[in-house]
Amino acid sequence: MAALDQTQVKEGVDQETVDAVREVGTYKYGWDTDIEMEYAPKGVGPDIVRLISEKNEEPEWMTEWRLAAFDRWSQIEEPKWAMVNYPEIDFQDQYYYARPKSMEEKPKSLDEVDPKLLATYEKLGIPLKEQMILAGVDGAEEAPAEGRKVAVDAVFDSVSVGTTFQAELKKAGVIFCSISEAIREHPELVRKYLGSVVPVSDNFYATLNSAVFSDGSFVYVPPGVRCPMELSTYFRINAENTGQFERTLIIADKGSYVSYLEGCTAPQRDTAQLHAAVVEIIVEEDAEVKYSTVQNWFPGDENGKGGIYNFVTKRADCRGDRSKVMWTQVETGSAVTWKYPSCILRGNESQGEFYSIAITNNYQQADTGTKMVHLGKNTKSRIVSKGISAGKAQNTYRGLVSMHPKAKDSRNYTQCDSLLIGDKCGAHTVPYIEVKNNSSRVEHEATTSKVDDDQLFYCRQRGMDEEEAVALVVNGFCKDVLQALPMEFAMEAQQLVAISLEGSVG
Amino acid sequence: MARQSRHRFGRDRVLTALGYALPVLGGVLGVAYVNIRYMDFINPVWAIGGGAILGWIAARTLRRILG
Repeated sequence: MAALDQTQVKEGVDQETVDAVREVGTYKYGWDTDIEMEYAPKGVGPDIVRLISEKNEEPEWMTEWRLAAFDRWSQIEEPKWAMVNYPEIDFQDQYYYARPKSMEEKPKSLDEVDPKLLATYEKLGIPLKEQMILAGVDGAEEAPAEGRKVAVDAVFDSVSVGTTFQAELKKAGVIFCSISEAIREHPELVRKYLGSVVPVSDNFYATLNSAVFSDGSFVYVPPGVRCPMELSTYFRINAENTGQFERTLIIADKGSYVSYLEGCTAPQRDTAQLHAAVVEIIVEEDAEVKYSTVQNWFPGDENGKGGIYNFVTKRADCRGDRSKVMWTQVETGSAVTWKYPSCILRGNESQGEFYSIAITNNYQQADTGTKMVHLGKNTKSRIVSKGISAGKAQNTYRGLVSMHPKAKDSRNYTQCDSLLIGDKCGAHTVPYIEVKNNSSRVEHEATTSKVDDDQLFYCRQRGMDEEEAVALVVNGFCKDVLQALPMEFAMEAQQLVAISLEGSVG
Repeated sequence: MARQSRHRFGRDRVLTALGYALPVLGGVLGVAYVNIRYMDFINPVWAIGGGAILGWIAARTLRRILG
């Protein structure tokens, strides 16, 4: 990188080419948008909580809910049990709210939108047609889209910039909007479900999120409706020294189906940034939810400088009988990951699935896994976790399978595989299994292996270089999880796996 | 006479082949079922074996009826 900066660029070579060469082997989304921002004062306290609530034009009950969460947060301590090491976070030395000044009022036409904001979305790969809708252009939602549609809610720092295809989804009865909009427009739904899966006092980061969450997505699928398109949220951190605290609430009513995708990126900076999110999913009788994540936060540089501290609480509550939930995640970014998407299998015959790939390179640390809590009869769960460590990274799988006394005839299958690339990285597995009845069955398989030299030799014989060979082997290792992703994400994830491991061999 | 014998010979060949093809098809369907209904946690040995036996019974029944 430094060598490239010092290299003289020949005459006639355009800037685009220079930028493209510079981007090879580096974090693709590491650039930032130079846009005028509006910040809340630094630090967190009751005044900041009230200010965030005021900025979102929230009702009184919501402000009270946030203040109660803040009160609780100031009494609890940061957990230290995870196998991650990071410098102490100064929670008073960062911004909790940042939004582009141009977003003070929702723009009515494309001309009113800050061109820099539009350019950001173009660079992130969000189609122009959707940009028009993000820009709030009247009638743009009616424009016919070609191919498979994906509705997008774009969250930029602390605000949702816009949500696409809302009108079309509304025709099917589906509500898809930002959580701040949902609090204003659908308070009865938010009040009923918010905090019912992840309570305010659940854990340190969830409590912090409950107090200061700024935006996020809200989905409600009415009974018997199959959501006509995939829904997705794109989280972008842009402002420096600012934390992102988003809240996602998904409600799948009886007999409904929805597939939700989540993507995230952040600029490349020398200082670490905090991201503490909460995702709550409520699945009623015979409903099904698929939640996929491609987490691509900035992981820090090759010396472990910078990156995102990612502390996330995700939980699904399968309340109804025969309800299903499926978590699929590809974790390639963030300097520190602390994340355990969980399923509470409350309804009889409900099912929970968890597929995960966690890739750590350089100095990245990931402590991730899942919790499957079986409460209902004949409940089933399946866990497939693939951890890949390279460089000096540490990767931990931490899982809980709990069979309660009433969960008769329940089943769980866990497969937990770790792959090591190099001799300075680590892979750790911490499974917890609790079975409190004698008719349930729990299976756990775990392997730890290194990339096989014979496989690499075979690939290199066929003209591949070492990095390509490793990427091929790793993609084969992750195949089970990649297959569980929606098609568009599977292709992206496959490329991401290869990019994340660049520079890990040799 | 010769045509009738050829016809019978052809039918015998098909019926004989069914005896092999249907158990194999049953086994393949067993594999497919295990993969599609993976959350049922069915033992593949039972699914393949069961499929093959069902295929064999189907072939035998067909041969009885047609033969």
